[in-house]
Amino acid sequence: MKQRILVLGAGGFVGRRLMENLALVDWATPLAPRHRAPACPAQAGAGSLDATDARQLAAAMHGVDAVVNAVAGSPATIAANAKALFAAAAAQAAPPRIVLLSSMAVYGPATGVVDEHAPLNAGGGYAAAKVESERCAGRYPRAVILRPGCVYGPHSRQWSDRIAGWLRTARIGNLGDAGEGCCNLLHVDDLAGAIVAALRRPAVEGETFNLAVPAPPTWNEYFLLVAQALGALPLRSVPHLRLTFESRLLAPLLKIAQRATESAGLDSRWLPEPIPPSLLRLFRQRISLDTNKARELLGLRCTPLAEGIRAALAGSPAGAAAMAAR
Amino acid sequence: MLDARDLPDGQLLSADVCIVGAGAAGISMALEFAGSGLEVLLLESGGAGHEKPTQALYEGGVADERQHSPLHRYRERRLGGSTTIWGGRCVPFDDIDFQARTWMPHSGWPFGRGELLPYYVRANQLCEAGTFAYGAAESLGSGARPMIGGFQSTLFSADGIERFSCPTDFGRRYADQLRAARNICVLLHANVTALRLDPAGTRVDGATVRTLTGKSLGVRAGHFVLATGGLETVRLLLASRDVHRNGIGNQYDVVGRYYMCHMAGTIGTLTFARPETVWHGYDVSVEGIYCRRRLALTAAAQQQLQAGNFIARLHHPRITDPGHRTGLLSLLYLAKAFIPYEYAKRLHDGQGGGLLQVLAHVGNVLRDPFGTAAFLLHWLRYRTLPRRKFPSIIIKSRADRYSLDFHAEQWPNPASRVTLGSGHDALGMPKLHVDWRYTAGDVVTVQRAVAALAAELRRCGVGQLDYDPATVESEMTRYGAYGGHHIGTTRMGGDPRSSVVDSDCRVHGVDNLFIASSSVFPTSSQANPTLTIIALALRLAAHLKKLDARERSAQFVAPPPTQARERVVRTRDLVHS
Repeated sequence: MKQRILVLGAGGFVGRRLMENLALVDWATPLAPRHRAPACPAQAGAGSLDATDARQLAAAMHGVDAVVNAVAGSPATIAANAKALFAAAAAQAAPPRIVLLSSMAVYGPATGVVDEHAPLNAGGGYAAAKVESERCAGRYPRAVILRPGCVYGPHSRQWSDRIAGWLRTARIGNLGDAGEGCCNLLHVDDLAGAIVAALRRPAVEGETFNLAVPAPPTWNEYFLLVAQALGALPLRSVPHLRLTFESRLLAPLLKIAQRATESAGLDSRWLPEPIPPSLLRLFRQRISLDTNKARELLGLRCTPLAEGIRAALAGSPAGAAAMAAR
Repeated sequence: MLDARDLPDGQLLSADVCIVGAGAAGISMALEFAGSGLEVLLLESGGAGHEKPTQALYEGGVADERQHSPLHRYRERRLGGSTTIWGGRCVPFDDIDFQARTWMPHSGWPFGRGELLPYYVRANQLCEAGTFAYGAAESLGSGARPMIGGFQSTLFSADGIERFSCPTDFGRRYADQLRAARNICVLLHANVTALRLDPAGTRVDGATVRTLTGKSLGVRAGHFVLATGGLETVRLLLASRDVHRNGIGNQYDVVGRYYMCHMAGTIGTLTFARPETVWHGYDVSVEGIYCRRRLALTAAAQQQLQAGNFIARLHHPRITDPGHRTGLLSLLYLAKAFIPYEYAKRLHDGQGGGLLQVLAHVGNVLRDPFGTAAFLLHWLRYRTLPRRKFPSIIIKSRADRYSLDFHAEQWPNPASRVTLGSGHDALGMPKLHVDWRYTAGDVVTVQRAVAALAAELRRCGVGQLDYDPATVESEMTRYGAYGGHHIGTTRMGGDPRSSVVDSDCRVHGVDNLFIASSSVFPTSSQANPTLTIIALALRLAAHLKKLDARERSAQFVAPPPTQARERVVRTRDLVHS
């Protein structure tokens, strides 16, 4: 008998890939409710789901065997979603297994090799919301928590398209010591594979897993790999002064311009993507996720970086064009 | 990162490994120990910046001031050491450099190049010089421009490149990593003035550290590593005489001998049959690293010519001679007072032409205003502002004429030496005296290599090198010993009668004293030494880690303090305090 798998956030970057994977297996029936954001009731339609509403979630997960929570959004949405999700699940007659997508952000500014027992250290915002989500999961015995690093792949705005765009315009490159942090990459296909394993494998409930490539490259090395795939060579050395200008001066201005543009109902994608200070902190952070547990219990296998990067760029129109131009 | 001046006078410190000197070697080693579980104390004489009183500790005497630069030049006594002023040229040693060559006395390393290869890869990364690839095709792609179109020679290869570091200042670049490592304590303004041996003279019992503010500290460690460069290492060994009357490791009077730099200069006039096929500038590798081709005398040619290692590059005409009629070169000559000593040496070549010469240079600048302005803009954009700097001035001669810039190996010579001289520095350390000498072998190397190159260019029909063979010796010694390359003074070898350290860079007869420096090179190669210094330092770090693991498995226990009342502070307590 097929398992009924409810995927929350099925329309997102990770959710879509997971749905494609689940569609290929013979043991699962993936279910993907339509979502609407809680602040946008006007978008609500028949069959739509507010992922922060425990009552609606309870109805959606009625009769399912497992739930994958890949809901993205603002910190408030993430925290509210987790609270509602686990409350709804606990109220089920047969509480399902829940695979919660958390993040390495829960480790805050930690450095060194970090395993799943490391203390959580969230300052605020996104990381705090993820920590709060994990707290909710901690009270639910059938939860499996996944803490991926930087998930790249086709259509990854954050870690593929955005990086490629910055490299093409020489806004980043070799950052020197500012780019020597560990780049805990994980290909979206590998994340989807880990989620599937978290759904299927026995004895993983109540466990938490770091997910990233083994021996992660530095950000400088990642940038070089992406630049090589793009043909955006030679890689430029970017001085600290330029990075300071980008993050302290240009980024706030671009953010304001983005919001103003969107407020006017216009498309803001033509604006350059800001490079915020938080990202520069990440580029410096020497945190290396210990993924031994995921390799052992989930059978985590990672796509070779060069191959993953090529696939990621080929999957985005700009990246594909750049690669074709080579 | 602490300051020795802030510690209590008389404080005793202890660590598993004490590294003396936070330059390229010391910092590279310390980084290798990060997170290893070994407590590492990295002692640095200077602070984060250049400090005159500290730098003055380097002052000493030289036998011939025309042949060797003052001892406080080309070296920096500060965090980062001389990487704070280096040019960034990275070149590994060649296979032949490690071999015992029948025609070169005292040549041969205890191991081959293969032993250093894994460490070269990491050294290249630390220098931010990209991948460890020194062939033009593998670094620049198969379509890279040749240096001289149509030049095919079995005596010279034009397919090798040199890579350039940013140039990376190791102090600034790796300070955060050193701070982040919880097992590493960097102690600034900590001058090691003596090493104390145990009564048997076979083990370093401790080091005396002094500050310019008058404090004295003591250090105990399982292992001591001297990473103080090719000159200061000699000074410290020779000045530490509490047990061995001649200094540590100097039982056979070898410490300070075999002092080598490099032989370098410019010579002749090069013209080419097809100037449009000549490229003497920089290329950029895919990683964004500046690279430059060079003409290298092959190993077979060295054997055939019975010469040392030798490379050459195409160069602009001599700057001091206004006859080049190039505005930019004249501008450099006129601005020599504002150019750091280490980079301006060739602007002070002793051929003073007086006011007429100055006026001729002014005339060159005035006649070439656009060329000069274009250069200044290029310099601002690619040298002054970027983190990765354009390595040097490259000028295309208007008349398609070049000079030959060469860099040659010096032959090991026991009579070329560094000793303790007269006088003492502010800390009471005896000053050094340098008597650098070159040999007939050095002259032969350059004479034969230049002659061979001239013949090969002629044979291939690609160009002509006009020079006066009688001037080779005067040209190769015009600027004296190549500045900043201090090699061979504590050379590596198996026999204590002709070497100071063994193949593990351990001082003969002293169990826990090691040297990470170009001073251990038995021969000097054609290559600039920094990359190999770092590779050897990384190899030493790996060796010490293995040694420590063996000692721990044998339940090694460090000797207890000799006086029960001494309060010893472990490095980890300093780091965490």
